[in-house]
Amino acid sequence: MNNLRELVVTVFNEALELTDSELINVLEDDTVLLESGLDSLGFAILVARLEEELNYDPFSIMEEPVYPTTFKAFLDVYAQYADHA
Amino acid sequence: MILMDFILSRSETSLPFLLSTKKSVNVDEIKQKRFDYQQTLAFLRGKNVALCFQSNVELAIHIILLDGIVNRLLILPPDSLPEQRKDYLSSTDTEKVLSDFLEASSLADINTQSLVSLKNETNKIPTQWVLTTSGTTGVPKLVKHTLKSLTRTVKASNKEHHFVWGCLYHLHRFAGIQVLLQSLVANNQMVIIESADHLSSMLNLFIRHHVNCLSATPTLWRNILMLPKSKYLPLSQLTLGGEIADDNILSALTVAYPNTKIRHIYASTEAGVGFSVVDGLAGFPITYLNDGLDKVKLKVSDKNTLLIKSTANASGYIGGEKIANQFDYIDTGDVLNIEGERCYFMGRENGTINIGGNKVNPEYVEQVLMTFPGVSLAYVSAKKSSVMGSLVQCQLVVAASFQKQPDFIKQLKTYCKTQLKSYMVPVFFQVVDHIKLNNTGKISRNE
Repeated sequence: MNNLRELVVTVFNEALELTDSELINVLEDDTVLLESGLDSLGFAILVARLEEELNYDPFSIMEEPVYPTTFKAFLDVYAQYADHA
Repeated sequence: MILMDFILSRSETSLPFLLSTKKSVNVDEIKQKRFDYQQTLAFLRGKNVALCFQSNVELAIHIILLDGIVNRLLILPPDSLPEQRKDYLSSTDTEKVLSDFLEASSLADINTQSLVSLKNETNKIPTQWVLTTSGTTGVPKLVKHTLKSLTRTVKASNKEHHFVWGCLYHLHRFAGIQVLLQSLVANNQMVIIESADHLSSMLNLFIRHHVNCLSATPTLWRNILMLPKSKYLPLSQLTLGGEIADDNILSALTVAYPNTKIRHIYASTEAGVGFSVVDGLAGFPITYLNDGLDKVKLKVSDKNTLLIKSTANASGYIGGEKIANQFDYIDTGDVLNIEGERCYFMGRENGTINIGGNKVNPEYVEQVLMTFPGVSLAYVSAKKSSVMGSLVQCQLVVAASFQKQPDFIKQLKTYCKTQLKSYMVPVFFQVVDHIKLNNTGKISRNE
Protein backbone atom coordinates (compact mmCIF):
# COMPACT_ATOMS: atom_id res chain seq x y z
CA MET A 1 0.00 0.00 0.00
CA ASN A 2 3.01 2.29 -0.13
CA ASN A 3 2.09 3.41 -3.60
CA LEU A 4 -1.35 4.42 -2.39
CA ARG A 5 0.12 6.34 0.52
CA GLU A 6 2.57 8.16 -1.72
CA LEU A 7 -0.13 9.04 -4.21
CA VAL A 8 -2.44 10.35 -1.52
CA VAL A 9 0.33 12.49 -0.01
CA THR A 10 1.12 13.97 -3.43
CA VAL A 11 -2.51 14.77 -4.19
CA PHE A 12 -2.97 16.02 -0.61
CA ASN A 13 -0.20 18.57 -1.16
CA GLU A 14 -1.77 19.52 -4.47
CA ALA A 15 -5.07 20.16 -2.71
CA LEU A 16 -3.30 22.30 -0.10
CA GLU A 17 -1.75 24.38 -2.85
CA LEU A 18 -5.00 24.75 -4.76
CA THR A 19 -6.70 26.15 -1.65
CA ASP A 20 -3.73 28.31 -0.57
CA SER A 21 -3.44 26.28 2.61
CA GLU A 22 -0.40 24.99 4.45
CA LEU A 23 0.22 21.79 6.30
CA ILE A 24 0.19 22.58 10.03
CA ASN A 25 2.48 19.72 11.03
CA VAL A 26 3.70 16.55 9.38
CA LEU A 27 1.14 14.23 7.81
CA GLU A 28 1.13 11.19 10.10
CA ASP A 29 -1.19 8.24 10.65
CA ASP A 30 -3.08 9.87 13.49
CA THR A 31 -3.21 13.38 11.99
CA VAL A 32 -6.82 14.55 12.04
CA LEU A 33 -7.52 15.45 8.39
CA LEU A 34 -9.59 18.56 9.01
CA GLU A 35 -7.09 19.85 11.58
CA SER A 36 -4.08 19.37 9.30
CA GLY A 37 -4.47 22.67 7.45
CA LEU A 38 -6.73 21.18 4.79
CA ASP A 39 -10.19 22.75 4.75
CA SER A 40 -13.45 21.25 3.51
CA LEU A 41 -12.94 22.49 -0.06
CA GLY A 42 -9.41 21.06 -0.02
CA PHE A 43 -10.77 17.75 1.16
CA ALA A 44 -13.36 17.71 -1.65
CA ILE A 45 -10.58 18.46 -4.16
CA LEU A 46 -8.47 15.64 -2.69
CA VAL A 47 -11.26 13.11 -3.16
CA ALA A 48 -12.07 14.35 -6.68
CA ARG A 49 -8.43 14.24 -7.79
CA LEU A 50 -7.93 10.79 -6.29
CA GLU A 51 -10.93 9.60 -8.27
CA GLU A 52 -9.24 10.84 -11.44
CA GLU A 53 -6.04 8.99 -10.53
CA LEU A 54 -7.52 5.79 -9.13
CA ASN A 55 -10.81 5.56 -11.08
CA TYR A 56 -12.94 5.16 -7.99
CA ASP A 57 -14.41 7.26 -5.20
CA PRO A 58 -15.03 5.14 -2.11
CA PHE A 59 -17.43 7.75 -0.67
CA SER A 60 -19.87 7.22 -3.53
CA ILE A 61 -19.53 3.45 -3.47
CA MET A 62 -19.85 2.72 0.21
CA GLU A 63 -23.19 1.46 1.45
CA GLU A 64 -22.57 2.29 5.08
CA PRO A 65 -21.34 5.89 5.19
CA VAL A 66 -17.97 6.30 6.84
CA TYR A 67 -16.35 9.65 7.50
CA PRO A 68 -12.64 9.08 8.20
CA THR A 69 -11.22 11.32 10.89
CA THR A 70 -7.49 10.56 10.60
CA PHE A 71 -5.05 10.19 7.73
CA LYS A 72 -4.66 6.46 8.39
CA ALA A 73 -8.46 5.98 8.47
CA PHE A 74 -8.62 7.80 5.12
CA LEU A 75 -6.01 5.49 3.57
CA ASP A 76 -7.84 2.46 4.96
CA VAL A 77 -11.06 3.54 3.26
CA TYR A 78 -9.25 3.76 -0.08
CA ALA A 79 -7.51 0.43 0.45
CA GLN A 80 -10.82 -1.21 1.33
CA TYR A 81 -12.45 -0.25 -1.97
CA ALA A 82 -9.34 -0.64 -4.15
CA ASP A 83 -10.85 -3.48 -6.15
CA HIS A 84 -13.53 -1.12 -7.47
CA ALA A 85 -10.99 0.67 -9.66
CA MET B 1 -43.13 43.48 20.10
CA ILE B 2 -39.69 44.53 18.98
CA LEU B 3 -36.47 42.60 19.62
CA MET B 4 -35.48 44.75 22.60
CA ASP B 5 -38.73 43.77 24.32
CA PHE B 6 -37.79 40.09 24.12
CA ILE B 7 -34.31 40.81 25.48
CA LEU B 8 -35.62 42.91 28.38
CA SER B 9 -38.12 40.24 29.37
CA ARG B 10 -35.31 37.83 30.26
CA SER B 11 -34.93 37.21 33.97
CA GLU B 12 -31.22 36.29 33.99
CA THR B 13 -29.69 39.62 33.07
CA SER B 14 -26.02 38.80 33.60
CA LEU B 15 -26.00 35.51 31.71
CA PRO B 16 -24.76 36.03 28.13
CA PHE B 17 -27.48 35.29 25.62
CA LEU B 18 -25.05 35.50 22.74
CA LEU B 19 -21.43 34.31 22.62
CA SER B 20 -18.66 33.88 20.09
CA THR B 21 -14.97 33.03 20.40
CA LYS B 22 -14.25 36.74 20.80
CA LYS B 23 -17.19 38.42 22.49
CA SER B 24 -20.33 37.88 24.48
CA VAL B 25 -23.31 40.02 25.41
CA ASN B 26 -25.89 39.91 28.22
CA VAL B 27 -29.04 41.89 29.01
CA ASP B 28 -27.28 44.36 31.33
CA GLU B 29 -24.73 45.20 28.65
CA ILE B 30 -27.37 45.80 25.97
CA LYS B 31 -29.34 48.04 28.34
CA GLN B 32 -26.18 50.00 29.05
CA LYS B 33 -25.44 50.40 25.35
CA ARG B 34 -28.96 51.59 24.70
CA PHE B 35 -28.59 54.17 27.45
CA ASP B 36 -25.15 55.32 26.22
CA TYR B 37 -26.42 55.79 22.68
CA GLN B 38 -29.88 57.17 23.36
CA GLN B 39 -29.16 60.44 21.53
CA THR B 40 -27.77 58.59 18.54
CA LEU B 41 -30.70 56.22 18.47
CA ALA B 42 -33.09 59.17 18.58
CA PHE B 43 -31.21 60.64 15.63
CA LEU B 44 -31.56 57.40 13.67
CA ARG B 45 -35.27 57.11 14.42
CA GLY B 46 -37.31 56.63 11.25
CA LYS B 47 -34.24 56.52 9.00
CA ASN B 48 -33.02 53.85 6.57
CA VAL B 49 -29.89 52.27 8.02
CA ALA B 50 -27.55 49.62 6.66
CA LEU B 51 -25.42 47.30 8.80
CA CYS B 52 -22.18 45.83 7.48
CA PHE B 53 -20.28 43.91 10.16
CA GLN B 54 -17.56 41.34 10.23
CA SER B 55 -18.27 40.48 13.85
CA ASN B 56 -21.49 38.52 14.24
CA VAL B 57 -21.94 39.58 17.86
CA GLU B 58 -21.55 43.27 16.98
CA LEU B 59 -24.04 42.82 14.15
CA ALA B 60 -26.53 41.20 16.52
CA ILE B 61 -26.11 44.01 19.07
CA HIS B 62 -26.84 46.62 16.42
CA ILE B 63 -29.85 44.71 15.11
CA ILE B 64 -31.28 44.57 18.63
CA LEU B 65 -30.64 48.28 19.26
CA LEU B 66 -32.15 49.41 15.96
CA ASP B 67 -35.17 47.17 15.48
CA GLY B 68 -38.27 49.19 16.26
CA ILE B 69 -36.39 52.47 15.85
CA VAL B 70 -35.28 52.68 12.22
CA ASN B 71 -37.59 52.57 9.22
CA ARG B 72 -35.52 50.10 7.25
CA LEU B 73 -32.65 47.89 8.33
CA LEU B 74 -30.48 46.53 5.51
CA ILE B 75 -28.15 43.74 6.54
CA LEU B 76 -25.17 43.51 4.20
CA PRO B 77 -22.63 40.72 3.71
CA PRO B 78 -19.25 41.97 4.98
CA ASP B 79 -17.56 40.49 1.92
CA SER B 80 -19.71 42.22 -0.69
CA LEU B 81 -17.67 44.03 -3.34
CA PRO B 82 -17.78 47.86 -3.07
CA GLU B 83 -19.71 48.21 -6.35
CA GLN B 84 -22.31 45.72 -5.19
CA ARG B 85 -22.57 47.47 -1.85
CA LYS B 86 -23.18 50.81 -3.59
CA ASP B 87 -26.04 49.23 -5.55
CA TYR B 88 -27.63 47.82 -2.43
CA LEU B 89 -27.39 51.15 -0.61
CA SER B 90 -28.91 53.18 -3.40
CA SER B 91 -31.77 50.79 -4.12
CA THR B 92 -32.78 50.88 -0.45
CA ASP B 93 -32.37 54.68 -0.04
CA THR B 94 -30.00 54.04 2.82
CA GLU B 95 -29.15 57.17 4.79
CA LYS B 96 -26.57 55.79 7.19
CA VAL B 97 -24.20 52.82 7.17
CA LEU B 98 -22.97 51.32 10.41
CA SER B 99 -19.98 48.99 10.32
CA ASP B 100 -17.13 47.61 12.41
CA PHE B 101 -14.59 47.83 9.60
CA LEU B 102 -15.68 50.53 7.14
CA GLU B 103 -14.39 54.00 7.96
CA ALA B 104 -16.31 56.49 10.07
CA SER B 105 -19.33 54.29 10.55
CA SER B 106 -19.71 53.37 14.18
CA LEU B 107 -22.51 54.57 16.43
CA ALA B 108 -19.91 56.70 18.19
CA ASP B 109 -19.07 58.49 14.93
CA ILE B 110 -22.54 59.95 14.64
CA ASN B 111 -22.43 63.54 15.81
CA THR B 112 -25.68 64.48 17.47
CA GLN B 113 -24.50 67.64 19.18
CA SER B 114 -25.47 69.88 16.30
CA LEU B 115 -29.05 68.70 16.42
CA VAL B 116 -31.42 71.17 17.99
CA SER B 117 -33.80 69.00 19.88
CA LEU B 118 -34.69 65.45 19.25
CA LYS B 119 -38.26 64.52 19.82
CA ASN B 120 -38.64 62.22 22.74
CA GLU B 121 -40.64 59.62 20.87
CA THR B 122 -41.09 56.15 22.15
CA ASN B 123 -43.45 54.63 19.62
CA LYS B 124 -42.23 51.40 18.08
CA ILE B 125 -41.65 51.59 14.37
CA PRO B 126 -42.42 48.39 12.40
CA THR B 127 -38.90 48.16 11.00
CA GLN B 128 -38.55 46.65 7.57
CA TRP B 129 -35.70 44.16 7.46
CA VAL B 130 -33.89 43.74 4.16
CA LEU B 131 -31.64 40.75 3.55
CA THR B 132 -29.55 39.83 0.55
CA THR B 133 -30.02 36.54 -1.19
CA SER B 134 -28.40 34.83 -4.13
CA GLY B 135 -31.87 34.10 -5.47
CA THR B 136 -32.60 31.51 -8.10
CA THR B 137 -29.99 32.68 -10.58
CA GLY B 138 -27.01 33.28 -8.33
CA VAL B 139 -27.27 37.01 -8.99
CA PRO B 140 -27.74 38.79 -5.65
CA LYS B 141 -31.14 40.25 -4.79
CA LEU B 142 -32.68 42.08 -1.87
CA VAL B 143 -35.63 40.58 0.00
CA LYS B 144 -37.90 42.56 2.33
CA HIS B 145 -39.14 41.11 5.62
CA THR B 146 -40.66 42.22 8.88
CA LEU B 147 -39.82 40.86 12.29
CA LYS B 148 -43.24 39.23 12.18
CA SER B 149 -42.61 37.43 8.89
CA LEU B 150 -39.15 36.32 9.99
CA THR B 151 -40.33 34.89 13.31
CA ARG B 152 -43.36 33.06 11.97
CA THR B 153 -41.62 29.69 12.26
CA VAL B 154 -40.01 30.39 15.63
CA LYS B 155 -41.03 27.90 18.30
CA ALA B 156 -42.22 29.48 21.52
CA SER B 157 -40.15 29.39 24.65
CA ASN B 158 -40.09 25.93 26.20
CA LYS B 159 -39.63 26.21 29.96
CA GLU B 160 -38.67 22.56 30.42
CA HIS B 161 -35.71 22.63 28.09
CA HIS B 162 -32.87 25.07 28.07
CA PHE B 163 -31.89 25.35 24.45
CA VAL B 164 -28.44 26.51 23.45
CA TRP B 165 -28.24 27.13 19.70
CA GLY B 166 -25.01 26.78 17.79
CA CYS B 167 -24.80 28.85 14.62
CA LEU B 168 -22.27 28.23 11.88
CA TYR B 169 -23.74 30.81 9.53
CA HIS B 170 -22.85 34.48 9.38
CA LEU B 171 -25.79 36.58 10.54
CA HIS B 172 -26.27 38.39 7.25
CA ARG B 173 -27.59 35.13 5.85
CA PHE B 174 -31.23 34.15 6.11
CA ALA B 175 -30.28 30.92 7.89
CA GLY B 176 -28.21 32.86 10.45
CA ILE B 177 -31.00 35.37 11.13
CA GLN B 178 -33.43 32.49 11.66
CA VAL B 179 -31.21 30.99 14.36
CA LEU B 180 -30.64 34.39 16.00
CA LEU B 181 -34.34 35.17 16.14
CA GLN B 182 -35.22 31.68 17.35
CA SER B 183 -32.84 32.04 20.27
CA LEU B 184 -33.74 35.67 21.11
CA VAL B 185 -37.51 35.32 20.89
CA ALA B 186 -37.69 31.97 22.65
CA ASN B 187 -35.42 33.01 25.53
CA ASN B 188 -32.57 30.66 24.53
CA GLN B 189 -28.82 31.13 24.28
CA MET B 190 -26.82 31.28 21.09
CA VAL B 191 -23.19 30.46 20.32
CA ILE B 192 -22.01 31.79 16.99
CA ILE B 193 -18.90 31.76 14.80
CA GLU B 194 -16.73 34.68 13.93
CA SER B 195 -15.61 34.50 10.30
CA ALA B 196 -12.01 33.54 10.88
CA ASP B 197 -12.91 30.64 13.11
CA HIS B 198 -11.88 27.16 12.12
CA LEU B 199 -14.56 24.48 12.37
CA SER B 200 -12.43 22.67 14.92
CA SER B 201 -12.26 25.65 17.32
CA MET B 202 -15.98 26.23 16.79
CA LEU B 203 -16.72 22.70 17.93
CA ASN B 204 -14.63 23.32 21.05
CA LEU B 205 -16.69 26.42 21.81
CA PHE B 206 -19.96 24.58 21.18
CA ILE B 207 -18.98 21.70 23.44
CA ARG B 208 -17.79 24.03 26.18
CA HIS B 209 -21.10 25.92 26.19
CA HIS B 210 -23.25 22.80 25.90
CA VAL B 211 -24.77 23.59 22.52
CA ASN B 212 -27.68 21.21 22.13
CA CYS B 213 -29.26 22.51 18.90
CA LEU B 214 -27.23 22.85 15.75
CA SER B 215 -28.13 23.70 12.20
CA ALA B 216 -25.69 23.31 9.33
CA THR B 217 -25.42 22.38 5.66
CA PRO B 218 -24.88 18.72 4.74
CA THR B 219 -21.34 19.65 3.68
CA LEU B 220 -20.62 21.12 7.11
CA TRP B 221 -22.15 18.09 8.82
CA ARG B 222 -19.84 15.79 6.84
CA ASN B 223 -16.93 17.87 8.07
CA ILE B 224 -18.21 17.85 11.64
CA LEU B 225 -18.40 14.05 11.56
CA MET B 226 -14.77 13.97 10.44
CA LEU B 227 -13.65 15.68 13.65
CA PRO B 228 -13.33 13.18 16.52
CA LYS B 229 -14.57 15.62 19.17
CA SER B 230 -17.91 15.93 17.39
CA LYS B 231 -19.13 13.00 19.46
CA TYR B 232 -19.06 15.25 22.53
CA LEU B 233 -21.74 17.59 21.21
CA PRO B 234 -24.71 17.11 23.56
CA LEU B 235 -27.26 17.52 20.77
CA SER B 236 -30.95 17.13 21.43
CA GLN B 237 -31.81 18.37 17.96
CA LEU B 238 -29.97 18.94 14.72
CA THR B 239 -31.04 20.42 11.43
CA LEU B 240 -29.69 20.19 7.88
CA GLY B 241 -30.41 22.85 5.28
CA GLY B 242 -29.12 24.87 2.35
CA GLU B 243 -28.22 21.89 0.21
CA ILE B 244 -29.76 18.61 -0.82
CA ALA B 245 -29.49 16.19 2.14
CA ASP B 246 -28.76 12.71 0.87
CA ASP B 247 -29.44 9.38 2.58
CA ASN B 248 -25.73 8.91 3.33
CA ILE B 249 -25.34 11.95 5.54
CA LEU B 250 -28.74 11.41 7.16
CA SER B 251 -27.96 7.84 8.17
CA ALA B 252 -24.46 8.79 9.31
CA LEU B 253 -25.95 11.44 11.60
CA THR B 254 -28.59 9.02 12.89
CA VAL B 255 -25.82 6.62 13.89
CA ALA B 256 -23.60 9.34 15.39
CA TYR B 257 -26.40 10.96 17.39
CA PRO B 258 -28.94 8.25 18.18
CA ASN B 259 -30.85 10.28 20.78
CA THR B 260 -31.10 13.40 18.69
CA LYS B 261 -34.08 14.69 16.76
CA ILE B 262 -32.95 15.10 13.16
CA ARG B 263 -34.69 17.16 10.56
CA HIS B 264 -33.74 18.57 7.20
CA ILE B 265 -35.29 21.74 5.94
CA TYR B 266 -36.15 22.74 2.45
CA ALA B 267 -36.38 26.52 2.30
CA SER B 268 -36.89 28.86 -0.58
CA THR B 269 -35.85 32.42 0.23
CA GLU B 270 -37.74 33.54 -2.86
CA ALA B 271 -40.98 31.97 -1.75
CA GLY B 272 -40.22 33.05 1.81
CA VAL B 273 -41.26 29.68 3.09
CA GLY B 274 -40.15 26.12 3.52
CA PHE B 275 -40.94 22.87 5.20
CA SER B 276 -39.10 20.27 7.19
CA VAL B 277 -38.74 16.51 6.95
CA VAL B 278 -38.32 14.55 10.16
CA ASP B 279 -38.40 10.92 9.07
CA GLY B 280 -34.63 10.69 8.59
CA LEU B 281 -34.88 9.99 4.86
CA ALA B 282 -33.78 12.10 1.91
CA GLY B 283 -36.36 13.99 -0.10
CA PHE B 284 -39.92 14.24 1.21
CA PRO B 285 -42.99 11.99 1.27
CA ILE B 286 -45.45 12.25 -1.61
CA THR B 287 -48.19 13.01 0.92
CA TYR B 288 -46.71 16.53 1.17
CA LEU B 289 -47.64 17.01 -2.49
CA ASN B 290 -51.03 15.43 -2.21
CA ASP B 291 -52.21 16.71 1.16
CA GLY B 292 -50.09 19.82 1.65
CA LEU B 293 -48.65 20.92 4.98
CA ASP B 294 -49.61 23.38 7.67
CA LYS B 295 -49.52 26.75 5.86
CA VAL B 296 -47.72 25.35 2.81
CA LYS B 297 -49.07 23.81 -0.40
CA LEU B 298 -46.92 22.05 -2.98
CA LYS B 299 -47.34 21.20 -6.64
CA VAL B 300 -45.13 19.99 -9.47
CA SER B 301 -44.77 22.06 -12.65
CA ASP B 302 -44.64 20.77 -16.23
CA LYS B 303 -40.88 21.08 -16.05
CA ASN B 304 -40.80 18.85 -12.93
CA THR B 305 -39.93 21.77 -10.69
CA LEU B 306 -41.42 22.31 -7.25
CA LEU B 307 -44.17 24.92 -6.97
CA ILE B 308 -44.91 26.27 -3.53
CA LYS B 309 -47.38 28.67 -1.99
CA SER B 310 -47.97 29.84 1.51
CA THR B 311 -49.48 32.52 3.68
CA ALA B 312 -46.19 33.05 5.48
CA ASN B 313 -44.24 35.02 2.89
CA ALA B 314 -41.56 37.58 2.60
CA SER B 315 -43.02 40.97 1.75
CA GLY B 316 -41.40 40.97 -1.63
CA TYR B 317 -38.29 41.88 -3.55
CA ILE B 318 -36.98 45.41 -3.63
CA GLY B 319 -37.35 46.22 -7.30
CA GLY B 320 -40.95 45.13 -7.39
CA GLU B 321 -40.64 41.64 -8.79
CA LYS B 322 -43.34 39.20 -7.95
CA ILE B 323 -42.90 36.93 -5.01
CA ALA B 324 -45.14 34.21 -3.59
CA ASN B 325 -48.33 35.29 -1.93
CA GLN B 326 -51.27 33.37 -0.62
CA PHE B 327 -52.94 33.29 -4.02
CA ASP B 328 -50.10 32.27 -6.31
CA TYR B 329 -47.82 29.33 -6.52
CA ILE B 330 -44.20 30.32 -7.06
CA ASP B 331 -41.75 28.22 -9.05
CA THR B 332 -38.81 27.40 -6.81
CA GLY B 333 -36.68 26.30 -9.77
CA ASP B 334 -35.75 23.09 -7.94
CA VAL B 335 -36.14 19.95 -10.02
CA LEU B 336 -37.94 16.97 -8.49
CA ASN B 337 -37.82 13.27 -9.21
CA ILE B 338 -40.73 11.24 -7.91
CA GLU B 339 -40.01 7.59 -7.14
CA GLY B 340 -42.98 5.76 -5.70
CA GLU B 341 -43.96 7.36 -2.42
CA ARG B 342 -40.98 9.67 -2.28
CA CYS B 343 -39.95 12.94 -3.97
CA TYR B 344 -36.24 13.69 -4.37
CA PHE B 345 -34.49 16.95 -5.16
CA MET B 346 -32.28 16.74 -8.24
CA GLY B 347 -30.76 20.21 -8.38
CA ARG B 348 -31.54 23.56 -9.93
CA GLU B 349 -33.40 23.81 -13.22
CA ASN B 350 -31.22 26.62 -14.50
CA GLY B 351 -27.96 24.84 -13.81
CA THR B 352 -27.05 26.90 -10.76
CA ILE B 353 -24.36 24.99 -8.89
CA ASN B 354 -24.71 24.52 -5.14
CA ILE B 355 -21.30 24.56 -3.43
CA GLY B 356 -21.83 23.65 0.20
CA GLY B 357 -24.95 25.82 0.39
CA ASN B 358 -23.55 28.69 -1.70
CA LYS B 359 -25.11 29.20 -5.12
CA VAL B 360 -22.95 29.69 -8.17
CA ASN B 361 -24.30 30.83 -11.51
CA PRO B 362 -22.14 29.16 -14.20
CA GLU B 363 -22.80 31.88 -16.77
CA TYR B 364 -21.63 34.58 -14.39
CA VAL B 365 -18.35 32.74 -13.77
CA GLU B 366 -17.93 32.19 -17.52
CA GLN B 367 -18.27 35.91 -18.15
CA VAL B 368 -15.57 36.63 -15.61
CA LEU B 369 -13.25 34.01 -17.13
CA MET B 370 -13.72 35.49 -20.56
CA THR B 371 -12.58 38.93 -19.42
CA PHE B 372 -9.11 37.46 -18.89
CA PRO B 373 -6.83 37.99 -21.90
CA GLY B 374 -6.45 34.81 -23.88
CA VAL B 375 -9.67 33.09 -22.84
CA SER B 376 -11.83 32.87 -25.97
CA LEU B 377 -14.59 30.72 -24.58
CA ALA B 378 -15.36 29.26 -21.18
CA TYR B 379 -17.77 26.59 -20.07
CA VAL B 380 -18.40 26.26 -16.35
CA SER B 381 -20.14 23.25 -14.91
CA ALA B 382 -20.54 21.23 -11.75
CA LYS B 383 -18.28 18.31 -11.02
CA LYS B 384 -20.11 15.95 -8.71
CA SER B 385 -18.50 15.57 -5.34
CA SER B 386 -19.50 12.91 -2.85
CA VAL B 387 -18.14 15.22 -0.17
CA MET B 388 -19.43 18.64 -1.09
CA GLY B 389 -22.30 18.02 -3.47
CA SER B 390 -20.53 19.81 -6.30
CA LEU B 391 -17.28 21.49 -7.22
CA VAL B 392 -16.85 24.14 -9.92
CA GLN B 393 -14.95 23.04 -13.00
CA CYS B 394 -14.36 24.82 -16.26
CA GLN B 395 -13.28 24.07 -19.79
CA LEU B 396 -11.47 26.81 -21.66
CA VAL B 397 -10.70 27.55 -25.24
CA VAL B 398 -7.49 29.53 -25.08
CA ALA B 399 -6.06 31.64 -27.90
CA ALA B 400 -3.02 29.98 -29.45
CA SER B 401 -0.54 32.70 -28.52
CA PHE B 402 -1.51 32.47 -24.85
CA GLN B 403 -1.40 28.70 -24.64
CA LYS B 404 2.37 28.74 -24.53
CA GLN B 405 2.49 30.99 -21.47
CA PRO B 406 3.83 28.81 -18.66
CA ASP B 407 1.74 30.18 -15.78
CA PHE B 408 -1.42 30.93 -17.72
CA ILE B 409 -3.78 28.87 -15.57
CA LYS B 410 -2.15 30.04 -12.36
CA GLN B 411 -2.54 33.69 -13.36
CA LEU B 412 -6.10 33.07 -14.46
CA LYS B 413 -6.86 31.55 -11.09
CA THR B 414 -5.33 34.50 -9.24
CA TYR B 415 -7.42 36.83 -11.39
CA CYS B 416 -10.59 34.87 -10.61
CA LYS B 417 -9.93 35.23 -6.89
CA THR B 418 -10.02 39.03 -7.25
CA GLN B 419 -13.29 39.00 -9.18
CA LEU B 420 -15.26 36.19 -7.59
CA LYS B 421 -16.20 34.93 -4.18
CA SER B 422 -13.92 32.08 -3.15
CA TYR B 423 -16.46 29.29 -3.63
CA MET B 424 -17.13 30.50 -7.20
CA VAL B 425 -13.53 30.18 -8.33
CA PRO B 426 -13.24 27.04 -10.48
CA VAL B 427 -11.27 24.28 -8.87
CA PHE B 428 -10.50 22.35 -12.05
CA PHE B 429 -9.35 23.96 -15.26
CA GLN B 430 -9.18 22.10 -18.55
CA VAL B 431 -7.97 23.63 -21.78
CA VAL B 432 -9.85 22.20 -24.77
CA ASP B 433 -9.87 22.70 -28.52
CA HIS B 434 -13.53 23.59 -28.73
CA ILE B 435 -16.72 23.79 -26.68
CA LYS B 436 -19.94 22.40 -28.06
CA LEU B 437 -22.56 25.00 -28.94
CA ASN B 438 -26.22 24.26 -29.55
CA ASN B 439 -28.03 25.50 -32.66
CA THR B 440 -28.79 28.91 -31.15
CA GLY B 441 -25.09 29.49 -30.65
CA LYS B 442 -25.22 29.05 -26.89
CA ILE B 443 -23.08 26.68 -24.91
CA SER B 444 -24.68 23.25 -24.88
CA ARG B 445 -25.38 22.43 -21.24
CA ASN B 446 -26.20 18.78 -20.93
CA GLU B 447 -27.91 17.39 -17.84
